[in-house]
Amino acid sequence: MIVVGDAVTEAEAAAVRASGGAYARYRRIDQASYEAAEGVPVPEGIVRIAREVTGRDLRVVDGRLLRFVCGDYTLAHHGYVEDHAVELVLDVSLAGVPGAEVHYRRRGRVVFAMPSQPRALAVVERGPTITANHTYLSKRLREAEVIRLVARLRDIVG
Amino acid sequence: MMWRLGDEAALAEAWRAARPFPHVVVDDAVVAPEALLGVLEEEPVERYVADLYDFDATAPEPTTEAFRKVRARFAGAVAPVLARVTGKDVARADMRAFAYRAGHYLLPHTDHQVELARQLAYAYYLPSPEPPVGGELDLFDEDQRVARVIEPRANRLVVFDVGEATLHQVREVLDGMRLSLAGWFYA
Repeated sequence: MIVVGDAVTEAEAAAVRASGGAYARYRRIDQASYEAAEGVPVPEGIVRIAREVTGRDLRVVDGRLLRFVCGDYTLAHHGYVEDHAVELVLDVSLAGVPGAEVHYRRRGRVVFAMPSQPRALAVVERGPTITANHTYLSKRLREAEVIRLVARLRDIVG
Repeated sequence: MMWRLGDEAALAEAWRAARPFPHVVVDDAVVAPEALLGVLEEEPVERYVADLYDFDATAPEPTTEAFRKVRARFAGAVAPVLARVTGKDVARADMRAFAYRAGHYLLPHTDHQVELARQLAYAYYLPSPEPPVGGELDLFDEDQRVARVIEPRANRLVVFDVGEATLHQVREVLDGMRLSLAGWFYA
């Protein structure tokens, strides 16, 4: 698990934000509250970083943009990953937001935290023992907005 | 200190009629509630953070004899009444003190875990030197919409059912401090 700062340029981050199209709100509140745009292209540059960091020959499975505003969150049991995919989280927010992090847990304990840092990339090797949650965004931060590209990569087989 | 729940027939009717799921709200539940604050001053408090919550609280088990007595008197006075009002077999309770400060919250959940055998949940709101803004207890209906909002008014006791559909949350405290005693009743 690693965070790479300045993984994309500001122009690339803007392009990712623009590529999402329409967001749909997910609101099963016992799981999560956020907006998502599905089927988002994943920049080749961050895939290359993931291959270098992990030493694995990886391909993109999917990419989605998640948008969080005040009161939004995901819980650890949301988006459970069964296999050993590599997860990329690219922060394409316009500004950092205090306390807005992505937590990765093993047996309930936070083992890795991605801070709120525009243009930073987290590369995380997932598995059935690792859960993830996007922390609750305080309602005291009324204008705050966090946008993250979340991509899953798997090993190229054959 | 003395717990007073009022007319049992009225409570039982309120329990049956409550929506979105069975619960009762009892105001002025304690004579001289300020005495409780003195007991709690001796209990160590730590911050508890997880994906679901962020709050300050005492340990799951009281560490002082005085707090254990508060818990025992509470269970002794309230459990028999609740058993008659709810029809549930309850005899004992656990108890922790909670302090939700600005930014603290408890996200939606049901309290229901089969192996823990929780029968009823409760929250008793203590007088706060900094009355909270926010911190309401929201009860959700089957469509996950807020169906009942309960203000954390000082000296108010809330008791609600525990089951697969008893979804609830504590809204984020925006200012001040929300003080409470809370836990569950068991058979």
